[in-house]
Amino acid sequence: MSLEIRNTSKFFGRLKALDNVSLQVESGSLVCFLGPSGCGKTTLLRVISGLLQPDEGVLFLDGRNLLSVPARKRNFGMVFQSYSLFPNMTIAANVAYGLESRKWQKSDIAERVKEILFLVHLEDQALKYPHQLSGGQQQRVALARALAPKPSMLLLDEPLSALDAKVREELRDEIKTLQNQLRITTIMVTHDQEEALTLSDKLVVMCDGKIIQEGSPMDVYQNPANSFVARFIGRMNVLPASTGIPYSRNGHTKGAVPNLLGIRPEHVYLTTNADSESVFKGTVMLIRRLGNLTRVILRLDHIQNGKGPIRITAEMPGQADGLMIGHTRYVSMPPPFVRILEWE
Amino acid sequence: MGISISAAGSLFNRAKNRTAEIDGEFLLKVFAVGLVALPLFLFVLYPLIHILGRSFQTADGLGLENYITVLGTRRFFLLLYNSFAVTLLTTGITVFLAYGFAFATQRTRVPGKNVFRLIALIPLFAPSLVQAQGLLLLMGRNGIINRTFGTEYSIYGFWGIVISSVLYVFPYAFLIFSASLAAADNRLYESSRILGAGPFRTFMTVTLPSTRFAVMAATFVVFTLVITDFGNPMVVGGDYNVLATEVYNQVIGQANFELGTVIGMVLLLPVAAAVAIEKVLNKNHYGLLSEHATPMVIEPHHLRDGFFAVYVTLICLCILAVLGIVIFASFTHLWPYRLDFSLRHYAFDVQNGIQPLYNSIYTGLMAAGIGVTATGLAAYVTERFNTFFDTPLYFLCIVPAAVPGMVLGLGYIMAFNNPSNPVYAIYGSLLLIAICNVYYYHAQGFLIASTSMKQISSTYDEASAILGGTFIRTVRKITLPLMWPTLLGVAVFFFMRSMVTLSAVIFLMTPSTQVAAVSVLLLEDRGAVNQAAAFSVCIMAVVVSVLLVARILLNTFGHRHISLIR
Repeated sequence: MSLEIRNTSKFFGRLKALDNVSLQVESGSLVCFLGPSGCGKTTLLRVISGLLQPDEGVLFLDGRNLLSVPARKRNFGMVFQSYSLFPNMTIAANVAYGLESRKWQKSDIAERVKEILFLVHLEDQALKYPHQLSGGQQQRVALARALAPKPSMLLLDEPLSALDAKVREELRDEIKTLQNQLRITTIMVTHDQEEALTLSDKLVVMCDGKIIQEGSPMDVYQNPANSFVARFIGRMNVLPASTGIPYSRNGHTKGAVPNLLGIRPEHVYLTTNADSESVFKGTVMLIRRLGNLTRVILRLDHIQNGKGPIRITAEMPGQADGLMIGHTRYVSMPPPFVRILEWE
Repeated sequence: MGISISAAGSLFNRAKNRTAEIDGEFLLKVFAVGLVALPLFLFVLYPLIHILGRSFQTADGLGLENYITVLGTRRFFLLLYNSFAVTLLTTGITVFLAYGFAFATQRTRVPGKNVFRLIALIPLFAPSLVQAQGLLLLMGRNGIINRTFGTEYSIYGFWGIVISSVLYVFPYAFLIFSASLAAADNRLYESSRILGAGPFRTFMTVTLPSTRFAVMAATFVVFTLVITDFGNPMVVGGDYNVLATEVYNQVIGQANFELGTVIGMVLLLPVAAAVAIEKVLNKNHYGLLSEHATPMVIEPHHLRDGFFAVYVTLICLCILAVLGIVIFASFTHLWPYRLDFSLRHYAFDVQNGIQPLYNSIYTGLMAAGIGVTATGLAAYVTERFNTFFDTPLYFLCIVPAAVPGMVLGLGYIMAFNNPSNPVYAIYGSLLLIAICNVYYYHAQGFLIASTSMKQISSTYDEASAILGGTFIRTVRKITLPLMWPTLLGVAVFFFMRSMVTLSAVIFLMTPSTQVAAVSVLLLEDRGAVNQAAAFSVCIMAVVVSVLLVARILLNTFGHRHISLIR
């Protein structure tokens, strides 16, 4: 099932929660809405689910107008941030709820519940109540409940944010596997960029009710559209173009003058001597040893912006033995990795 | 040109989206809003409008004559003065005593706290005039004190009303303070101690400020209860008249409805003002406990614990003495002349026999059923439907809190004792008495239900909708199963209040629909103190049994946290 969102806006009083959003979701793909809180990503998901009516715009599912279809008839599955498992029902009853609503036969229901609980490895928990399960298990039940009625689309509203890091990673992989297996069109809202990068086929970055950039995770990571995306996804050094750092035009419009440039910390290299051509002398200000990775913040002594010497972050594998605060290092930033973030 | 086209397009879109919303569920919502609002109009606002109209009705058309007749007399100012004197003194004493009592049960290490707490709440289970009844048995002309010491002391009058009123409203104030003092952030107390503050300074700078809203709420609740109470002043007031007893005397004694309504309107003003002020102040009442608060740890302190142990014991003795003497008197042969044991007053060989007790139970059950349906529905509609009507409907639901019971009852006579009104069909029946009780206590029942509704996450409703559940299925499978413990509590609340209340029903009863609380008043008035006592004991027994059954039911299903006594 493919979904098309066309010129959709939503207001909450005077606040414009969605600002003329248009988007195409391909059949069978996993799309992530990524953005800071308040960017409108959850509002967009709720509009798609039918829990909210947009003030402007249209939604099409396989060419059929969705707006006149109430939420309960859209045949979508949804997983909420807070699980929202019905506390008065067993796991099996929770999973069966959507099937009963759709008037399935009793025997079919029992079979489907068994099948779907097996799929999320909870077949032996069927008769327990939600409060007797761990957070990760509860979220698996929520997933099973959403998938049981064979929905045409799966909507996930920050499904992992209430879980601790270890369980989150486990469940993230499980969602990906399930989605691959079932080839179900899936939309997931998250504010966690790592989650979005690893899971999605298509990444939609949102801010202030607008879509800022969309594309494959690698594309968005390598070619952020502006400094907001650059800073939100991964880390990026954002530098004024007036510093004279050489950059790659990389297919961008010729002739125009860039205003801001960006380079990922893993592409900033440090050496002890000034042998190559494009190097800048810097002083080590801070070293963060993260185990498999070392993050170094340097002050570039001869490059100024309005407020003083520029600081730059570099990342290198390993422990960076011998490096100490106050050391002088030469910083090289290969032009192919220096991106244009904003034009004048 | 381009701008105008896109504007027209967006208008079109909006209109189209709106029509999509108008489906079956939208109509259901409109229907439900009407189902909540119409009875409130009919059984609260309509009687009030009638009583207002009647107060302006004179022999020659509408006019201020009734007001001039009443307000121009010296007697009126005396009544006004008396009412305020009794009410303000009672309020002051009760708020002070109940705060101390709640402090003792929540913030000290007094042993047997739960027992003390239960004793403080017992008056809620008894008819509202039981205090005056007990006080007379203790300190009246034929009371135990005069009989024992051969004195001629008389408690009738100002002090009699004040003492019985304090005992009557004490549990209401105690409940408010108890809830407020139960919520404490230990970190504040630790900080205060570390900064070198002594217990008194800690109390003044931490405890008291964090409970100031409770102090205000209790003050207004107590004020309203006392100024509108007429059972206790009737029984123990003697020649000391207050506004509430005057309404009764004018209407029942002299059939002077016009003057009765004028005084009723006078009574309505301070009550409505008190409720309005309380609501406005409460609006700015933010949660005083943050999620990081740590629970209170109370260290033993001999002097403090000893003082409060004596304090709560004394108050409990007063409460138990007044109630105990009523129970005792009901089992004597002929109080106060023959104190030997007898069950003869439980034969109820009085007019109507035991029928009033059955009437009370029957009315209570109806009030419980109607009350839980009305307030449950009202809470659901205001909390879940997100319609344009939420705020006005909410307001309508809590308006009854500002209406004295006597005024509502009087309004029912004015509005419904009229063959052209459809409600006349049930006029003079127990059903109308039950309805009157429901709408008299509507605000409290509604607030209990809507607080609980707020705590049930609305994402359950959304999850159900996404899973294809219809509105009806959501209510039946999810909302009701999650709400039933609270709804049972609301039903018990309506039953309990219906059993013990006097003020709203006094004008509505006929000889065949007399309820037990009214029997107590009439028997007491006739001097049949033994039978009156027996009726009070029966009321208490019924209320306590129902509470016990409900408690056992809730505990069996694991809902210990639902409180039944409100």
